[in-house]
Amino acid sequence: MINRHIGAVLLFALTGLAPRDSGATTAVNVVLESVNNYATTNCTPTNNCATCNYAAGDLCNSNANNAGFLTGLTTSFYPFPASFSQGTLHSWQDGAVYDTDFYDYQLGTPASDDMYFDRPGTHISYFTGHGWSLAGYTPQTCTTSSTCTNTNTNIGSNPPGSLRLPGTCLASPNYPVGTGQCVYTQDRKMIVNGSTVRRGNNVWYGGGFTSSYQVAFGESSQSGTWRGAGTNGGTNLVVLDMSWPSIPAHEWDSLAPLLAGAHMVAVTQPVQGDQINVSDRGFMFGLYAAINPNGAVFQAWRDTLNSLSQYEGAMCGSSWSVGGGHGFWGCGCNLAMTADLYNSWAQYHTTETWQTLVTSTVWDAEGRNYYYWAATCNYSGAFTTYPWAL
Amino acid sequence: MNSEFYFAIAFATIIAGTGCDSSSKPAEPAPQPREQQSLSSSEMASSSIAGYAHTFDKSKFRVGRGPSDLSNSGFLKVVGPYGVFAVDPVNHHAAGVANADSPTGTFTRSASDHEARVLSYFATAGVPSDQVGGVHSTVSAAGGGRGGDPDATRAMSIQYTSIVGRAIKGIPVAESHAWARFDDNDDVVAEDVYWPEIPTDALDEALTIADQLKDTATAAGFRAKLPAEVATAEGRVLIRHSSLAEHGSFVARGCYDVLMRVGGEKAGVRSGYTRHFGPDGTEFRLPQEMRQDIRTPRP
Repeated sequence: MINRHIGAVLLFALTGLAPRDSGATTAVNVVLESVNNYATTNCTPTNNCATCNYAAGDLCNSNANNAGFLTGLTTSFYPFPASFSQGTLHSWQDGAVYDTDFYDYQLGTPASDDMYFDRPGTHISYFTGHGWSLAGYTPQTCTTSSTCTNTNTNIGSNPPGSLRLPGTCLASPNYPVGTGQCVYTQDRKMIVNGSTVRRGNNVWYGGGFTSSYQVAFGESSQSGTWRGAGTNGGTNLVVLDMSWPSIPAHEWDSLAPLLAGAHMVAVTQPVQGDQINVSDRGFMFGLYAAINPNGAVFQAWRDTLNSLSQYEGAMCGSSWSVGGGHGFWGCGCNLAMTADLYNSWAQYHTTETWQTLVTSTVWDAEGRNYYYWAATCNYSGAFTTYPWAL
Repeated sequence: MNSEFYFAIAFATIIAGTGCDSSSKPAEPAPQPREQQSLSSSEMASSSIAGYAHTFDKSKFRVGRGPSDLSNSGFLKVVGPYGVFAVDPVNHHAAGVANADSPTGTFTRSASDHEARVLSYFATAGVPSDQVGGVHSTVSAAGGGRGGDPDATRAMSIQYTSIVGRAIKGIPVAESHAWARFDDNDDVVAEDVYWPEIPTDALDEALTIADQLKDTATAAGFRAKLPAEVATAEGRVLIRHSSLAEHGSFVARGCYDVLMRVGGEKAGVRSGYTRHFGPDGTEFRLPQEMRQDIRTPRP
């Protein structure tokens, strides 16, 4: 904590004195993990993804999307210097992405995130692939969250009886104004398709705070061991570019469990429908870092949605005039969330710059007592006409 | 000194030019493509439809007092205490990105008011009025507090970002956009513009497909050329082009886009992605979708 305070003072002093965007180049350590091939082994853009098995879940843009993130982040061409250069890079795709890459061995074995997704010294870890569809959603209609108490009804792939309280009444353009559907706390997972399978290709990371979640990102000597995951992690920013990483109004119980020192997590959050697998979401996000290293990471992720085409996806509700696209088929949002020990620290991360994200050694989260979230959504009436919890 | 020299040359070129035809690109600095161009068809044609290049002199983005020029990360930047306005001299993509600690104002009027303001802004700046395909808004909000407190989920600080879409002869142009976020002081606090010149071949392709789809018999003929799994799926006629990520040869195509729904409840996963088909039913992918994988060995 002493380090944090001294660091904050120094950072403030340096920020005030240093020229903005001096043009200096900073090396960024990145881990990229992405999966196209879920059902086949040759679903690739070079054959127009013609051999992909869509019904079984093959994707086609995951690998291009992750490569794009690095390209955008480190973009440059002669004779211009770059704001960010490639530091340590680890990039694995398809069968080379193992479920154990994301698990922390201090929390349970088999696990090896300290060698993969959460390697010490990593600044940014980006995953593109599948999540678990519709987790937490039910067909129960509602007008207020107080009636969402029946956890015995499921849709999609939710196992019967897997829903947990609290439930909330989620309004969206798919329901008449003033009504919505009950959604509940539910296990969240990333899905991979590794050539070695130790945990069923599932990475269970959230849905409340239980010992069954053995995923913890960002623990370091700066963050301390509050998560019980040692200090052998290090990533500062986690991106989950996938389906249903969280559900509206359940960001805390969905995403906070995976934080162990990481400053923030950025996700694509469907409201109705789903996200779609696009090639440029990562690029746009990274490019905003290259354009302004002193811009806020928190804001950049949300503006990425604005720069993806309205025609990437499908409409939200019953009409394009309501919204849709921008990387979603249906209604969806780019959402970022921070957490830290104290309120002011959690709030600080919402204004954390790219430059600080990759250079500071004092801002690793020392707890998750407080959190902040922000989302940009592709439909009109979001949050007002259609609140996330009626 | 070098960077200022290059900035002067390239910025003057941008101001002088109105499109992004390869002939208007600055002679120096010689750009290195970010990645290899992978699609060969329909490169820039001799006949083309005008684009729009957003520049600092047309922008209301607030960089603050005493800005300086900087050539960095492939962009010609105007850097001020509040943020950066940047132009890619190769493809004319322009963006204004605020500093994280920039004093941020909000727009407290309605979304429709914001859309009208953004539409007027870009019309005045020079976006061709006959290419405006509509305007819509995204909505932002934020919240937070103690973990587990239901009040922390409550959304506050509603903001709008309005996006001007592009259409040519009624055909939407997917990758083109001009978006901005205003505050109540009539300053732009964020913006992003990519509106490249489009070869007429791409429009011709799109109109050809649209014509085929007008008539039941010819529509059936067109769909018969498509792979079985997409022939009955809902599609859209669009113009698609190289995204602002690309520095290789510019590609634009008129196409029939189909959103493939991936997985399903039985598979336990869902998602989707877009496939593109030309007038003859031949599938193609855009340069940004053919980006080279980056692979490192597992330790």
